[in-house]
Amino acid sequence: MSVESRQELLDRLARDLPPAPPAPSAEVRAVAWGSVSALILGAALMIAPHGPLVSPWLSFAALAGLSLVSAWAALESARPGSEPSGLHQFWRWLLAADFVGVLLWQALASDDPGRFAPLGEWAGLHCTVTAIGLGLLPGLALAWLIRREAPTEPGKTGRLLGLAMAAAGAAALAFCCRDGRAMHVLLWHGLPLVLVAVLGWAAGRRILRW
Amino acid sequence: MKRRMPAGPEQELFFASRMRKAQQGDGAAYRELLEEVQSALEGYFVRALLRTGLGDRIASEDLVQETLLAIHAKRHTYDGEQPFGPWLFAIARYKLIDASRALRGNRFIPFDEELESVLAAPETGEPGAAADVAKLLGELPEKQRRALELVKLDGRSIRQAAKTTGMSESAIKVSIHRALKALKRGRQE
Repeated sequence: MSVESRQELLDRLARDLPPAPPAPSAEVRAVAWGSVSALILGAALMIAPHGPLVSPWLSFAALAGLSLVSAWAALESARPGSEPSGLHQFWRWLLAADFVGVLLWQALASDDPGRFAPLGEWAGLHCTVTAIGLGLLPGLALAWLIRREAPTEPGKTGRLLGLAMAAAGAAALAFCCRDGRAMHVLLWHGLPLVLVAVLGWAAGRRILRW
Repeated sequence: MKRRMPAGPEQELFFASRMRKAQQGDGAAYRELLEEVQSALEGYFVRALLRTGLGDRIASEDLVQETLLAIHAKRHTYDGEQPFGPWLFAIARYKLIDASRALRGNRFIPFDEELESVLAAPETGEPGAAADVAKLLGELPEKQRRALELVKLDGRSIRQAAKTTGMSESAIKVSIHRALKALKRGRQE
């Protein structure tokens, strides 16, 4: 590009410049996303068969929190020059450890000889698929928010998006699934987190490019 | 010619204040910002392309243009409370990585066919052409001459040449490209 045409480009960009106020902070948007997702999932649960929570409430709370913190980190990472702080990472690990720890503890403390049986029950895969399905709409909403930003590491942002989406779906699943056995929840409700985070990383490198 | 503002706190304050005004729709402030930003980007991309050995395959001009357009499209993502430099160079780095990814799978360096035939001339037994090439080769910088001889005359692979000379594969490719360019100029004079 010649110097002259560069000057023309700069003139063109500066001409008729519509105001573009900075978007609200990542925290504010994450909370807004969390509220909208809760409404979406609440509506979905009205349609789907549901019941009271049978899995440990701590594991449910850990998933809901993990979803919100991951969405916050994804939105933070979608701003150029802005890295999710160590605080995000700390909370993600703490909540993931809470989810795993509570369920493992419950399984190990149980006297039930069949407490590890859910690990071999492939029917549990139904829960994994349901969690991913439930998380789909919140995931699309978050992807829409992220695409309005400018993620400079689309793979990393995609991974966080996937984690937020799957954790939201898995949290909602707790009200649909009637199997409260610790190992069932740990494996089949936890599996979508890993799967969708990996898928999110791979897909993010394509769909979050701008 | 307008002098570029030196990098430092003064430039940072200038960038941030102009960007905040631009976000409110001030075209004049935005024009001033872009003028300074393009100079900063030119320096950044020239250095980055040299360092990565991609200088012969990606034009810094194109990257500057891409980045200016990206700044324009995503200007709402700049948080006025934060420093401008990290925001700007995160976009610039992203555009550089994006451009280098686009090159992946296309490692071919477009050599000039005419020069290829000139280099092949000594084998045809034409004494004049051979002497010309030998003279032109002798005028090349040592690194470029060595890379060209190993790959184009001795028929070694880029990897072998890199191993022999201790240079990186990218550096070998760049050296060959530059040597061929220099030879072409020499032939035309």
